[in-house]
Amino acid sequence: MDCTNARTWLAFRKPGELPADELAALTAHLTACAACAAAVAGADAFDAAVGRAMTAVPVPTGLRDRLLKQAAARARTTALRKLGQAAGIAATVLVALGIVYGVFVTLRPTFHVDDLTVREDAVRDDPERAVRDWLLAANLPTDLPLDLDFRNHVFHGTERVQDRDVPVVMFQIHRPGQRPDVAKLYLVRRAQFNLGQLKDSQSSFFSGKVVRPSESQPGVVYVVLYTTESLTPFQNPPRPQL
Amino acid sequence: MGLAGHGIRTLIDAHYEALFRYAYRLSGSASDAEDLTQEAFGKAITRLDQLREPDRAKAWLFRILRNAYLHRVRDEKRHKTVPLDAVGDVPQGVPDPAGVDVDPAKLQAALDDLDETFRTPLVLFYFEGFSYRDIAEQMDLPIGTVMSRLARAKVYLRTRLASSTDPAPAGD
Repeated sequence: MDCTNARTWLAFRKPGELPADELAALTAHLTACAACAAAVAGADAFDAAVGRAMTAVPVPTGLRDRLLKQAAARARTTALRKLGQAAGIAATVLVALGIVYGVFVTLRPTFHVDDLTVREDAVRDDPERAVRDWLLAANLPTDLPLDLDFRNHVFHGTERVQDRDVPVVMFQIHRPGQRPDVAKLYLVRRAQFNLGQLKDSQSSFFSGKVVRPSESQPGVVYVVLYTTESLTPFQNPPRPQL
Repeated sequence: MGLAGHGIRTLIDAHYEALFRYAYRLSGSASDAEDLTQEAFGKAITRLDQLREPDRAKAWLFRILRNAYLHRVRDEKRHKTVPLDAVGDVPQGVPDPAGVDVDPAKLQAALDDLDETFRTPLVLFYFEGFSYRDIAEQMDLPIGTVMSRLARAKVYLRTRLASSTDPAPAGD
């Protein structure tokens, strides 16, 4: 390293920040060059003197207390502003909820008892037709697999089974002094359930019977639950052969 | 004061003196320095959640203060500059000021006449704990630019402090 390079490096020197190889070359040069060594000593003295002067600024008395007081005031203001913002958000949410509730109240339909009586009249008048119309509307096969006696029909609609709405038609036969016998015909869609393992079952009161439909109805399997010995009481009597 | 209050109290206790001195060297006025210090801590309170590395709090506060100072200077249209082109790029044979003591008032007069883009790296250089990289981050500049400005600013400072009479500022 020559004197020109050494003086250049000295200009950019900051303790601890000169690359190791350059520092070694500079140190070697300074050992050999009295003029540059003197320049370094002068630069060091200058830097030290400027550094002392630079930080020799008297800090005003009481500045710390004033800063702390200001910080406390700002913290209070900030907290109040945040509280105000939170209150504003809460008010907005309440207004929005009120609007939603108002819309909900306005848009929900009126319950018409007269409509209901007319509908139930139609079911009672011709339950078989009512069930057929309902199956048609639900895009289900209208030909049921059993010749059921619809005079015993009490309900048709859907029932929640394993978190799915399953169409069901229900029949009841009343016996004096006893609980009525029940038969429920479920229309189980293949689209809703895995029907591969479906089989008959028996419990204390109910028997479960799987009725697989004809090939023309591939999308549905029927499951009948009933409390009688057999399904015969719920079926129409055999028609006489002519 | 709560957790945030405790945090700002710690920051104030640890850094208010250094921050005031930095503000004074930037502005050249004790009252401006106090205003800037208050403004810096005021802004720090509202942005305390942005301080992800507590070890970098000093650099963070210095940066906030410098930005506040720059806003103020821009608003007041105060530009005091000495043409550094007249100084030269790299110091060669510039005499050191006589003796080893520098008069703080004379130093401030020299800083006041220096453009902020040279004054800030010079002040940070002589404040303990600021590396070239720290200064570069403070000023959003490449490290080479910082080194170059520092070298030129130091030459200017040596010239001013070594001369018996101050040169007239170039403009206001």
